[in-house]
Parts: sequence; structure tokens; C-alpha cells
Amino acid sequence: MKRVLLAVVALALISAVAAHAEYGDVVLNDRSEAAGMRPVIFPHWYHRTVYKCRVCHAELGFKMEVGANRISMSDLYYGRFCAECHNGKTAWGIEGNCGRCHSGMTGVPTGVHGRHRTTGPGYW
Amino acid sequence: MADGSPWPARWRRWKLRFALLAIALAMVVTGWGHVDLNAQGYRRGDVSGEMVPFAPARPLKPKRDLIRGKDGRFWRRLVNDGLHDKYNPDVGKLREPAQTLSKLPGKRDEIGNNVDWVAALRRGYIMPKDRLKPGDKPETRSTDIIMPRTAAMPMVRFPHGAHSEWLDCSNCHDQPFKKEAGAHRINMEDILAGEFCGRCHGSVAFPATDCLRCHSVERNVGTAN
Repeated sequence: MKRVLLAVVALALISAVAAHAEYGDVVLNDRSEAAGMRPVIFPHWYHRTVYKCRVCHAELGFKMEVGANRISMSDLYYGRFCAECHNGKTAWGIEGNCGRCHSGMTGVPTGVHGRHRTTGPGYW
Repeated sequence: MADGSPWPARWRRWKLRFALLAIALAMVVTGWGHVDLNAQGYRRGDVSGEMVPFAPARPLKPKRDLIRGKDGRFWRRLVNDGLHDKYNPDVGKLREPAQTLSKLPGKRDEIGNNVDWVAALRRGYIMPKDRLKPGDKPETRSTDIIMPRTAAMPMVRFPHGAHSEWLDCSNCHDQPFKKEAGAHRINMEDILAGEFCGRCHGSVAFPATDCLRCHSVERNVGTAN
């Protein structure tokens, strides 16, 4: 009986801890869903294999705080933020590739989703 | 006995109660009736901090949903990670995490995509560019800082080197850290709530629950503290 209980507790803990999204996946949904688009998913895991943090967070001006970056499509059309690389030359351009960024499920709030979670009282 | 049952009448009631009790106990043991908000499609929104409805991932079927590397590490497929919309026609154009991450060093269950990112960088598995504009010059610093006021825990060693391999000075200075030793009284509550070190550690770098990776310097060993 003890062993069964232990197994049940362990299973419950594992299922609570397991994060679904990849570590560092950021969802941007301040405006997307209100404008009829899917939320944007930014995968840190891929971008950090090709650029160091400082490139985006120092050179391109992305703030290191969830919800602090108010990025609009008109910024991108003027070549700012994501479009400094996503211009069709350095990386694929924004024209005709809407679904590559706007790829999230509806109802997902802005935030870092693939973050570390424990079963503690907060969400760290 | 008059009605042909082998049980006395006053036992019959107890038999029912025992059966119900046994069923209830079985339910508790097997976890029936336990409402797991995460599994019910609720997540903690990071901006509001409240539980918000969230599209749930389908139940996990390892063969269908996971991609395994050769060394036992595995990653979820994008269409079932609870974030990506599988009805998005462009979702097939996206790169699967396993495609890239299985080639990088790391251990299974290591927080952070199952990848040791510092090792991946230092051992040359990835060669991320450090500038976009040709004239821009990255600044680096390699000194360590020891933070001795850690109560019963070992002291904290902050390595500038490992951080400036990725980051620019301006990413941390002067917000959130002043360029002055001892200028801040940093405590774990602030870090776990996402301030100071917790800006990155816990979301893109190893989490603050990995205590001894920062609290790494024993007292009275090599220092006169």
C-alpha cells in the first residue's frame, strides 16, 4: 500500500512539474487576439543558438521584462524590432509568413510560458 | 434470517456503509475527484498572476507527441505543447525543438530545454553572433563577485565571465543592478518573484531552485570571512 501511495504521489508531482512549452517560450498577446490574429510565440531556444542575448536586448532594444515590449506590425513594416533580421535577407521576411509568428492558440495570455515551475505557492 | 439472507438485519446497513467507505478510500488513493487546474486548461498568467483559462494540451502519448534524442532526452512536438495552434496552416514550417536541441550537450531533466547552454557555447556546439551592426563592439568583464551576506547558506559567487559571454553590460547595469558592489540587498523572495537575477533565471537561464549553483562558496574556505 505504501508503495502504491508513493507511486501516486510521485506521478502527481511529475505531472504538475512537467512544463509543456519549451523553456523560455514567450507569448505576445497584447493586441494580436483583439485584432483577430493568433497570439505570437517567440521561441528563445532557437534564437539563442544563432544570436547572443545582447544582440536583441541591447542592440535592437527589446526590454528584458514580460509585457514591456509593445510591438506593433507598423514597427515591423518600418524595419524595427523583429524586422531588423526578419527582412527576407538575414532571416525570412514578414510578408506572407504571418502564421510562423502568429501561431499560438487563442486565449493564451502574454507571458513566459515555458518557464520553470515547481509545486510551490508562487509560479517560479 | 427470516428473509433468507445470511446477514443479520443490523449488519446489512453496516455492509453498505463499509462498501461506500472502501470506494471513497479507493477514490482518494487513486486521485479521483482531484481537480488539477493545470490539466483542466488553466494556467497562471504571468502578467496578472491569476489562473486564466488556457487551451489544454491533449493527453500525452509518448510515441505520437514526443521526439526522442539518442541519449534519452525528449522534447514535445510543437503541435502538442499547449501553446501552438495545430490548425494554423503554417505550423508545419516551424522548426521542432528536438531538431535543434538534440544536437546540443545537456542532460535529461536539466531545466532549460534539456540543454546546458553555457557548455554548448563554450564547447562550440553553437556559434551565436554577438553583434548585428558591424561597428558595435561587445563589452566583456570576467571578474567574480562574492556575496557574503547569505545567512546559513554558502556564499554566492557571481561570475561576470559566464554572463558577459551572452550579455551586454547595459542589460544589467544600471537596471536592475547598480555598478557598485554592495549597492543592493538582494533577497530570495525578490529573485523568486522575478526581480534581479530572477529576470532571467527561471525563464531562460537555470532556475533559482537550483540553489547550489549560485550558493557555491563555502564559508571559511579560502576567504577570511
